[in-house]
Amino acid sequence: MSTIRGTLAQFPIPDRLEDRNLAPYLLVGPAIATVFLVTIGPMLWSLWLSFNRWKPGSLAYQTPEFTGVGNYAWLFTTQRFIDSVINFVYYGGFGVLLQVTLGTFLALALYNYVESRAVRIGLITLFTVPMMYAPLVAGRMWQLLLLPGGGVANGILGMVGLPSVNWLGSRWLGLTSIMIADTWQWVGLPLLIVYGGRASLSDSLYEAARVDGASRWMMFRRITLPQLRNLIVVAAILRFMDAYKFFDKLFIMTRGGPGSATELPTFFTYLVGFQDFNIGRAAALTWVLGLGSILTMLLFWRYVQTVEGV
Amino acid sequence: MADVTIDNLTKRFGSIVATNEISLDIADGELVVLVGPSGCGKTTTLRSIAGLETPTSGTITFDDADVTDRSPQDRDISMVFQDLALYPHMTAAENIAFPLHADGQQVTGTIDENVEEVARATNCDGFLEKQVSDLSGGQRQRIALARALVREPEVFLMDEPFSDLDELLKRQLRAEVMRIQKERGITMIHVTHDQEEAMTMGDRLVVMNDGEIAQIGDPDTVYSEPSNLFVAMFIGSPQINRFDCVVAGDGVLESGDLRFELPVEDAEALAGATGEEVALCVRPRHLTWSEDPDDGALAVPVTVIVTEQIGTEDIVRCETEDGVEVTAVVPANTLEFGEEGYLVFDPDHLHLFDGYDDSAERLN
Repeated sequence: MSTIRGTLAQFPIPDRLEDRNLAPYLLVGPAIATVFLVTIGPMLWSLWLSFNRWKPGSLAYQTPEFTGVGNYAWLFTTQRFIDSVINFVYYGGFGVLLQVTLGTFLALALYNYVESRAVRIGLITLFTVPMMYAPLVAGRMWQLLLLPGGGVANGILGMVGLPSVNWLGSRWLGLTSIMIADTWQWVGLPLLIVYGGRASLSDSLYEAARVDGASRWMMFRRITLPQLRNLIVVAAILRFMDAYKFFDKLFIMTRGGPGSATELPTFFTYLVGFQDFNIGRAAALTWVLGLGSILTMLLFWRYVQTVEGV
Repeated sequence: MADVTIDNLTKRFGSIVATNEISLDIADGELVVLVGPSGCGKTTTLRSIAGLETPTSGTITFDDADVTDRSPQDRDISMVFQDLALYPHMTAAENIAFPLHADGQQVTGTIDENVEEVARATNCDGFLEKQVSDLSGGQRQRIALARALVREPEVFLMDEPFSDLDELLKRQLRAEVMRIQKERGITMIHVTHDQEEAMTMGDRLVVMNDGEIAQIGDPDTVYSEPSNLFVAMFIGSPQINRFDCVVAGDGVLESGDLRFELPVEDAEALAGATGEEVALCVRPRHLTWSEDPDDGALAVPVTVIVTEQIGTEDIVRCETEDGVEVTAVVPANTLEFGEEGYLVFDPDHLHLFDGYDDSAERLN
């Protein structure tokens, strides 16, 4: 006790407690209890529920009733779920690719070709401001832009004499439209990450490359890209995590429609859980999605480490 | 290899003049060292030759080709950078091969051969497959040299590449660079702030100060006949001794209570300059200790304040009665702290300058 000075020393822990070594447990106890109550506990409960049939709103399953892997079996035999996973592979895969590629391209173009610092900062701000929009607002805005009749996008097509397009009215086009809306909002993130990375690379590397006779393309391929690879992967992981829980724009722009054509797994889970109140199935869905996302991240990570090669 | 001609090169950064109308001819196969204190314009000159800076005015010519407006890629040069600028994500071998890949003409087999050959010449064949981050300072240095030597460029540039190395390694690498330079007849321009390095390496020195060339010459000339007071003070270690004097009469200089009667040939240079300011300089090696100097000898009475042993000699720092510091080099262990006596000037090695500032010109 003698080493503790100041305020704490005025409130010494009673000797009796100290002797029994209870003090440390008492001190961290509340924190551990909180974590258990709000995180680990509910997780275990939802895992248990995923093996139960429970539909609080219905007559049949008012209380949880054990069904083994029934919910999981249902899941993997339901075409609507499988379609939503395929939608996710399309949306997540191409969406992240588009955002990260475009962000990287913009970042390097801004760094290399915009000489005026003020213009550069202005453009970066323009690209990053949409990140501050509420996703629902951004989604509504894009929905209005893409309205089949009276929307700005079709208005422009009409002015140049092209036929109208029903941007949100079919599966792949609808998903692509949402992807573009999300890219508009989030391209600033990979842009900022890559721009920061590029700005921190030493100029002398590029001077050395110029002296060595390297073309611009070679500097990009052999120096910029390998040097920024890890940051680009980080940006991709961040965007991919967001794609996993993507919900809001989909909710506002298509509601998964037409029919269930543009549904993503999270939206499907929402419907099962909060529309049908089929809690057991929804729990199974969240566990499959959760494990799926963890697995994807592990694969990403493994990839990064193998490429690094050391 | 090419010869290099710099004609009236001026480079301004905003209001700062980095180099002011520099002109310099470098012969094919010559090793020229640009030397001077920080901010003297030596690195700007080198970077202009490399094409990394665009001159405000003036021209740079390789052989007969004006390269002033060419990009570094089109100049056919090699350069070793102060921070080496190795590509950190590549192995040593990939670093060395980079300029060959950039050339875009060589097939993979010959690239490997060339890399191995230059690696042997620079003693880095033992760690070619290592990642740059796993290499020691000396090894990185060798890789940087090898990368610059792997092509046969028109001009080879070095920007203080040895400044971060320990003394022993520095000497070793310097010697290797000089050997390779002579063997291959490379036109080499080396920048350093280290006057000792400049003296040992250069066929010719270009001493720079304040964006201008103070003196061009071979190391012996720069050492024994510095053209102005700046060069005298900058070149040579330990630093030259300097007495700020006024001409008191025919061949007589006075500095405080000290009075110097100059030898006839030096006196002539001062004819009719009575009352003018003159700096009298003498190198520490050209002073000898005497308890009782001959009549008429040039000597100052001093007390020893510090002795530093450097092998078989001592550097002795002394002080005159007025507190003027004078340094001499004498045989080891001949003097002790507090000894009083005279430092006698070698009359054949006096340097006279027509004033007290850096640009004061040599008189004798």
